[in-house]
Amino acid sequence: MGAMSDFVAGSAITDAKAAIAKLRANMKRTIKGKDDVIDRAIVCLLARGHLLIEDLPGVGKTTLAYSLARSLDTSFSRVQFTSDLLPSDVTGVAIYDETTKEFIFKKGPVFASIVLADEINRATPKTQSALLEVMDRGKVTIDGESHSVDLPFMVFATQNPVDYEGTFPLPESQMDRFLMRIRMGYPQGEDEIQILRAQTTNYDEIALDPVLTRTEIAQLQQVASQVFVEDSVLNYILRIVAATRTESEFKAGISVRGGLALKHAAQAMALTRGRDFVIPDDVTDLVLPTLGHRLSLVRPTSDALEERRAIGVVLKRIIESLPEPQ
Amino acid sequence: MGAVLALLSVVTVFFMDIDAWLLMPLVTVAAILAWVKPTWPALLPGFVHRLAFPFIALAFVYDLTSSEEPLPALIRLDLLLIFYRLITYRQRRDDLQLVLLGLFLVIVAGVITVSLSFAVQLLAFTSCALVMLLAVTLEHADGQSPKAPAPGVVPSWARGTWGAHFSRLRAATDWRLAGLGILAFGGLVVLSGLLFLAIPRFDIQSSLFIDRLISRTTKTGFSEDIRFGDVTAITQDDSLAFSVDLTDSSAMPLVPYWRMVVLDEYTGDGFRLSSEFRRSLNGYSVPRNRVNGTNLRPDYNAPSWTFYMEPGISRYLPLLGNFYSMSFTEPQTFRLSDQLRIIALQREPPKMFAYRTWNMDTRSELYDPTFALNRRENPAVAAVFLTLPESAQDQARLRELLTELKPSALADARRFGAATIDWLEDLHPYALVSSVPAGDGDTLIRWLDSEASGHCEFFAGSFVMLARAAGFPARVVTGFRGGTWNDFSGSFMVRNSHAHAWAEVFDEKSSSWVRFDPTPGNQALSNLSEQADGATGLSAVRDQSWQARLDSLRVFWYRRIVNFDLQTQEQLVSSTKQFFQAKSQAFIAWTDSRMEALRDWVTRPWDLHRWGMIGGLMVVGGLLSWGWRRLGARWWLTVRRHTRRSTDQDPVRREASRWLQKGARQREFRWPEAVAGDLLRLRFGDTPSWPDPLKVFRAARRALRSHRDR
Repeated sequence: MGAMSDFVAGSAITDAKAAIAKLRANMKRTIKGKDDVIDRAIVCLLARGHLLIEDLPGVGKTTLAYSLARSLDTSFSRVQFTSDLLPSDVTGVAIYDETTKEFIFKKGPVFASIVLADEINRATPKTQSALLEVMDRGKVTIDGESHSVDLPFMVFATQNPVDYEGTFPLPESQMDRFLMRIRMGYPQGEDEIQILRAQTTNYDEIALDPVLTRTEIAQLQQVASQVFVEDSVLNYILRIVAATRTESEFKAGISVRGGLALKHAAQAMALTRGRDFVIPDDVTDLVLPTLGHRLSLVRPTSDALEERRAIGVVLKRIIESLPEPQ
Repeated sequence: MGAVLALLSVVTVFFMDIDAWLLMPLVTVAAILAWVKPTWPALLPGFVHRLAFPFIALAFVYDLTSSEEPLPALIRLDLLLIFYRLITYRQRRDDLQLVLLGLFLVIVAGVITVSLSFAVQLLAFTSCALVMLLAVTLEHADGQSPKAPAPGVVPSWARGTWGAHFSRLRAATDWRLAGLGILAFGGLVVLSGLLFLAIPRFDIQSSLFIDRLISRTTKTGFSEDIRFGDVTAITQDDSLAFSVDLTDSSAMPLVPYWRMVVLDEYTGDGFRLSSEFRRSLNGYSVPRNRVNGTNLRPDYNAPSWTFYMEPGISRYLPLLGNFYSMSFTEPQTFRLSDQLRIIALQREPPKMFAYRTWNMDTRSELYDPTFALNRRENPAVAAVFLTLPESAQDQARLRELLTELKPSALADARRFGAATIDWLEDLHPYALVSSVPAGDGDTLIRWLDSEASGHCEFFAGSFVMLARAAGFPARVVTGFRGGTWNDFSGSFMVRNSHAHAWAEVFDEKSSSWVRFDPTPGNQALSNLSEQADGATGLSAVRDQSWQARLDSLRVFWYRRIVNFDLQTQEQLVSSTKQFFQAKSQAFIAWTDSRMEALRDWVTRPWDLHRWGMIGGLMVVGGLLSWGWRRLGARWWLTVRRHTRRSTDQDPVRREASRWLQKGARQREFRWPEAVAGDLLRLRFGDTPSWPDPLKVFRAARRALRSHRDR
């Protein structure tokens, strides 16, 4: 019996489990008391998605991105989005080389595996869409020449939901490009004390050893995409998506891409939880982070936080009304 | 489902003689449309719904006042309401209305027709209604009250195809529950069948009053007034008129002539019962159960004849001739005409009517000494059977025609009959459509003068006229001729298509009315009928068609509900009881003997051989159970897995789901880590990665059991 239990599907799963555990432990060293946020970031990485972190300044958004980037043996770059940032500041630019008498392409910060796009809603829509195009296609096209970004490629975007002065909120169609939107939240008392005790004040001083190589990440992503989803679970996802489409409080329902995102995220979630198959709980836990930012309410709300909260309530009601496959 | 219900109940109206020729097809078409194309009610404009109820109410009031009969009006109202329900989308409470409306129709029809199809309909209706109510209940099970449909909007269920509906139904059905339901329904049917056997019969027939509310018109037209062509019109109808049970089938003549109405007065375009006879047959009499006939030979070995008459045939009862006695299932108001030897009920029976005669005379001569005696004393008695057409010209023409016969033929009635039949047959061919040449004067005389073809009534009428002109008292008799033997029910069936008219001429010598059938081709058989040998006779008219099968069901049903005495029923109940008693006694005896044998076996001295046998048996049993656990259960699981298609219905997944739910229901219970993982894997994991299902389930059972024991 014992031999029959967990993870018989092959050494790939066992390896994946070990790798994820290593990554999680490494990140925990800098991010205190935010295990679920860490898990979701890992899910996003495994599902080849991009992450939008939305919270107040100073709760650890950037730290999270740093700690993930430092744990991986990959390149990392950070772009601080401001209203005068140009698309070429993100993607790179072709400049004329006097010596060779030709244009050469100077890669921008987007040519890194983990890209931290800080305060993305401060940039102009033009710059935002330049980044979003890369997120979608994994390529940058300059002067008719396309340049592939590094793989794995993951964008960490952060934005501040409260301070809307002088911002350009992302349109819904572009929100769709993010696999998940999560909140950090304040740390618990005990955890915060630990943070206060720590010496580090500078991001660059975050001292973490890389635990995963580029190939290991690619392998993990491959395994995650092969996690088995049983028909009744697929049907459950479908029912959730369909319910958002008939819900009268939403302007529009979840797109097909949204449904796919939920499935991929659930697969990655199953893998981070050590399984090679998805159970309904994996899906329900991810409904709010993967679907919440793709929906908007019909009725006007007083502010962004209020809308987030209301959407969460409706989604919760939908999930409770749909019976989980048993 | 509602449409099926409506159809089932509406079909019953076809069995009743309710005047609803416009509504019936309308409702039927609406029901079928609702089945085939559920989207169409949305196409109705809104004013239809607004006007519907005032219109229905008005129609009902008008109907009630104009027809002055409450029940048909009620039934028409019911039909209208059903129709309206069919052309709109129903809410839940409307479904219940539909069930009630349909039930009303079915019950009314059942009471009126008293037929087996009623029972079948009620059965189908009940099952349909049950399924429909179940569906309604299931729909409400989510606890939300459904939104009222907006007029003109197609509800979502109407858009799907039938295939989709069925697959949803399949997915939603718990087959064990469905099987249980079917079993319970079957039990109910058996129980009600037993009850039906046991309840006393009399109240079915008499204590319900609904049928009294309907006045009927005779369907076939065997009344006291028959015009030429009436009888032939009846023969177009092939439905059953009556059936006869006979205790000794050899008594059945080869070609029986079922006398119903005797007509004496010629009207110029037909025959009718003269007013004197009519009065004597219509007068009131005390209801009686039994009547003695004019056949005065009590013969206790003679067979008894039981007639089951369909409703709407006539108020005159078919008979073969004189009988010794007749009895009814319940007291009846009726008159027996001594002179015509026919029996008329006061009212035409609205439902199946049964009577039984003993010792019936089946010969072609109707012995009537009273008439002979009366005639000798007072010749005016016979005058009514000797009237000719009024005009002297017609009378002269009749006498003229008689001269074409040989003088010897006028000597006595029998010879006259034979000669006239031959003469008529030579002159006129038989046809279902009579062509009477145009001209003045009497119809019959004109026909006689021509060589036109004619049907039985013309032959019988002319024969009677000629006989009267020759001075023989004569009369037309209408009824049925022949019939078929139904092998399935063992009874004799007479259909409306057997309707016929013939003649009776009084023969002074034998003091009896002699039957003559002047219709070409019948006379030969008509003579045969006297010395018919029952067995060969019946085999010649054996009917084995599908129609006969259906009719036999009808007869079977009649036999069950009609009871001349309580004896047969008591016999049946007591034999059923005896059967069960005998079986239970046999069972007890068998158990006793087994116990005895066991006791013997235990008390016998124990030796090595017996110990060895017990040991061997235990080993074999153990091996068998081990083999089953090892291989059989797995084989069974494999078989079941391969008969399902969707992974969702995989029995292993279902079983795993069952165990997971069981665990979730237990308080303070957590699966051991390994078992939980395996169960989840069996439920949601990929098939190749599965652990051995049987082992996992066994481990789950152990885990639950140890939790309960704690």
